[in-house]
Amino acid sequence: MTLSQDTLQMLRTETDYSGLDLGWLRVDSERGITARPGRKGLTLEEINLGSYGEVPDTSRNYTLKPRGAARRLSKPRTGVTWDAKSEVWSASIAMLYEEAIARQWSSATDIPWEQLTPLPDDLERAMCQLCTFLTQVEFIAGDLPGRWIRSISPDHYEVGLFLATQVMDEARHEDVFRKRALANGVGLLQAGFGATSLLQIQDFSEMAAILHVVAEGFVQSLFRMGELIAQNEAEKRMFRLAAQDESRHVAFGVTHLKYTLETEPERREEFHHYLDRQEGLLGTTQAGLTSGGASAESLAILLGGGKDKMDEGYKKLLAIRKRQINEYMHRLEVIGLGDRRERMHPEMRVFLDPPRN
Amino acid sequence: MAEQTSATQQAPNPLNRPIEEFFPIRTDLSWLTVERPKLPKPVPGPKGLRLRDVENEYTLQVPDVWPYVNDTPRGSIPPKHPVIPAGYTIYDKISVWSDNCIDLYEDAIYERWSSATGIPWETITPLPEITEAAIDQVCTELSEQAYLDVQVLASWLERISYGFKEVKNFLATYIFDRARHTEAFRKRALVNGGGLGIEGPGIYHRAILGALRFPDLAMALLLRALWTKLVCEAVAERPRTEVDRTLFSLVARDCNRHVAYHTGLIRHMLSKEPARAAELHFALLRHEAVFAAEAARDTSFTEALVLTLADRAAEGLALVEELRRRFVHTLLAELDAAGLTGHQERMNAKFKEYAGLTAPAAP
Repeated sequence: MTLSQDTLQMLRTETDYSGLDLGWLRVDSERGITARPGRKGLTLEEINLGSYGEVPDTSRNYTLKPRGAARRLSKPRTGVTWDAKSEVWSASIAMLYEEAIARQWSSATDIPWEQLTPLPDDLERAMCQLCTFLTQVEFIAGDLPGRWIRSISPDHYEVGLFLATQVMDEARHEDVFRKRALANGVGLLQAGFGATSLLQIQDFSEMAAILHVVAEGFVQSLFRMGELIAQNEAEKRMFRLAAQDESRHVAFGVTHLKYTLETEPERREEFHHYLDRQEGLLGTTQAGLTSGGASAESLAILLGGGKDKMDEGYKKLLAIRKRQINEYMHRLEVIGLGDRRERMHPEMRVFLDPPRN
Repeated sequence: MAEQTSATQQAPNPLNRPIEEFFPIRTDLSWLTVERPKLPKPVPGPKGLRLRDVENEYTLQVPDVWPYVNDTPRGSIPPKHPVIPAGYTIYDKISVWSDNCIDLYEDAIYERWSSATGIPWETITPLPEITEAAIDQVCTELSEQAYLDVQVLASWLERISYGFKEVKNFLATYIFDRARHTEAFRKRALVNGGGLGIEGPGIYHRAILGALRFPDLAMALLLRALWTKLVCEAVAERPRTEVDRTLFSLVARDCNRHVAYHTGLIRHMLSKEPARAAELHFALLRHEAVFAAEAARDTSFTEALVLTLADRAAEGLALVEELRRRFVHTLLAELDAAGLTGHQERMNAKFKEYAGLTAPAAP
């Protein structure tokens, strides 16, 4: 932060500054930065100028020094963080963060609750059961990213900030599904296995594969079919807004794995290992929401139009599962894991459309 | 590859197989008929349909000790089968609860803002080089502190059990706020011909990182949140640009919620276990000592704040001294209001000196 010679001379002589040490003005960070707002305001991309935009592939920053700031040699360390950018990075991270900020919404004011009209008991209970499951798992989807933020270097701070928006999004999802369950007479119903198994994840990229790409990807595909599940405009809006959030989370997982695979191709088999395991679970548990248990039953009732039309609902649910799996495959291709088509779990592979050329 | 693709193409249409094959896991559908209390229809208030509007006597009963080890939602029918336990370590309400967190959560969402579009960046005009450098230094350290808060608070989420969901909701907004502060201050430093300064001394970081129990963390964060709020209010009261007035005002408003949570935690704890006042006094005393140690060494922040608030050092120093005095008096008032009385007698000596409660020690 070395100042101009004129200013330095003034500081030496000007009595206005007597009594001040001013050593902090003579440090070696870059000055003369004038970021300008762009079409979407002053975004993180706009301030990535000069040395401030140089994201190191390897960080040795253990003191929380903001990227580009001058170092203070006497500062104690605050704990070890991941050195390698490839451990956490996504090429789209700045854009994803700003989009998350721009698209924040409120369950209190952005859902037309007045359009939540009384439903037949079976449909109301089905929606409450679905919401019970969703409200159960949403916190896990916030707690898990929260665990890793502590390990993200300030040199890669955009990732930490993005994950903070995910924590916020998941809290809001918990809140909106809870509100829906409580708002129309019935309330929360049967809690199930939930998603605590996700907390057993041991690595950041494992989280991106299992939480972001698989779990949130499947949920996002389902929410995008919310028009079929919802019984009124309030529920449609709820699913639409939640799907929008999930899209960002999925995009983070996809772009992180893509970046890591491009920079560390030797991790390919490791990523396949995570997916092998999770796909097996999707076929035998309610993790995908559409494969069984009370969540699938509630969806079958909602999609079919009543408890007497569950078979019709199950058929629609199968169509949704097909869509979930094909969208999942597409994401894998974007990541660079197109070879997954051949090794996908058989219970899922049967739903795959032929590859696009 | 060609053979495998062909095999996929020749697979029977999955939708034509018996539906039962695809849904092997069925329940007894008891959730469709189970007896549940009929809930009243909630009425949205002037700020929409808030959690407080939909919660009721059944769902808002927060037990002092949460009994479930997984993600069973409060107010639901708990599973009868064994579950995979989460790694929660906080099952006692007294460690994290604040009666106001349900409202603070909704307030945070209601008062959300964006640094990209909510600050009139385009209006900023060049400042004298030293003034700009001073603001940039203040922003450098505030940005760093905010990122630490994000890291630390986020790491606590998975320890707090589901029963205290309102706390988890609120902490999500706290983390989100501090993430926004991280980048908003960084943007301010990089928008007007300056740049980041030198990193902070990091001494108080250790108080926050070293808090191994949540109430201890809450006391450490109370000091940080209150100081940040007052600093931001001071800068907003004497803004160099409209950008600064807006930015620092918005951050101060966020910090106000954070302070309210921490003091609410004190209030709840003392309402349940008054004897724990001694523990809170001691935690505060320890954190005050670290805070004062950092303030003594952090000449970069102090001097930058001096020159942010005034052009002349003497005037700025007086304003910073006044700010410190206000910090201590506000802290004492907040503690008193929360039921933690008598802290003045137990307070760190340097804090007393800030507030003019004792004569400064002889050099």
